[in-house]
Amino acid sequence: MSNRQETVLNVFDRKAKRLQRDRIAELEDYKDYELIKEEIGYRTYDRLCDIKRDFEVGVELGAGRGYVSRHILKEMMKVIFQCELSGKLLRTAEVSPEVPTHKIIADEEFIPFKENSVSVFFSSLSLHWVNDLPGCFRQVLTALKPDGVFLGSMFGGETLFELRVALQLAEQECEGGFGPHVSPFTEPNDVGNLLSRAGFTMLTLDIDEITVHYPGIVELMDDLKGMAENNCAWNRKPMLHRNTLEVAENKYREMYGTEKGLPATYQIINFIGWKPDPSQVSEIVIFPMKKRSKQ
Amino acid sequence: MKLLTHNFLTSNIIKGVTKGYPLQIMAEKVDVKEVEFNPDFVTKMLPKIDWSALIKAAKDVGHGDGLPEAVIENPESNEEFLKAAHNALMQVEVIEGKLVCPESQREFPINNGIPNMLLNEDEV
Repeated sequence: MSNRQETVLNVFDRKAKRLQRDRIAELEDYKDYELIKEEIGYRTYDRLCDIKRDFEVGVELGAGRGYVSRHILKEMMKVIFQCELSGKLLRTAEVSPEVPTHKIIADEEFIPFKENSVSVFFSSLSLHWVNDLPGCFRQVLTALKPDGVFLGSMFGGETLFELRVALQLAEQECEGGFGPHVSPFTEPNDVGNLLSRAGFTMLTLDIDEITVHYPGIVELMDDLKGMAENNCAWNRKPMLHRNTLEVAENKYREMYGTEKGLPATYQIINFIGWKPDPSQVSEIVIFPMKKRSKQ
Repeated sequence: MKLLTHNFLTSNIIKGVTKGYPLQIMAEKVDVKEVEFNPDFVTKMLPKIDWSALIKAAKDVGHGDGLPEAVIENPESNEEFLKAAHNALMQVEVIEGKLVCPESQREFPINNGIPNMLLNEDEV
């Protein structure tokens, strides 16, 4: 079995992401920006409900304001640990109304739980900012108990394609070249491969798409900032010239606009994976009966 | 940070550390907050707890009295034992202090009851 050394991508400035989240922790009107986080948080909880299992120890990875934990009731889980990169945001996090919930400031790339201790890890809209997904997935697997489950949702490749295209075309036209503004996303296939390589079995993957309409490009970008989903890739271009922005909005409207405004696509990859355990039904292999020959 | 939480935390996230459990606690401020006793919860959590780590942690924070050195037989039927375990796991809380890696001595701060397990840029 080959032991490939994976190149760890260092695409994202994690410190910048933490600061972006710190900033929104203090927003008074944060509820105006939470629509997608709340919706997907709820859907993640809904997926947890589909697993007919009583969990003991659950961990919410990249908890944010506790978008998943806030729904969990005592029949489902005995204790919840909420992990979040931003201590400020974590302090504002809503906890389960019934299940004892404890907070830990932690990075998804450095998961501080002892081996074989966690029944379920769940994560909603945070993993797409992780640099070392293979490392993250491996650590989740180690911390899970055998037959434990990892369930998550993250933004996928098609997310904000309209914005990306509009900005690219506008920059090309106005500035003679373009730099990346929308961060890179993982493709659904890649997520499946990574989970598999990390050692998860019985994978299920599916894709959701949510379209939100905005009156203008600035409103869209404000919304992203308001939920700390603005770009933190190291190679992000810091400046957006006003002229370019105007041209971008025109192009956006031309190419994608409807009477409802500018549609922004959020593609969400949902996955479930299990830590292997002898109790799981494995493939049944049938060996053909060997004919014995008389010597 | 409750001692229940402490029981799950390891510093194996540090490069080169493999024996990062249990973390030592240097407590500056410890509270004991009343939490409703739920014998079923305690019984269910016992198999997930490293009891010797719990004892050590309780002693580190000055609340080690009343805890036997090992989990007793048939704990589910011994209310006194369950209450002592409940107190240690759910009521004792480190508000300010540090968690210390037993292998590297690296310290992780605990502020306002929340442990910070983030590594610095030069550690990753």
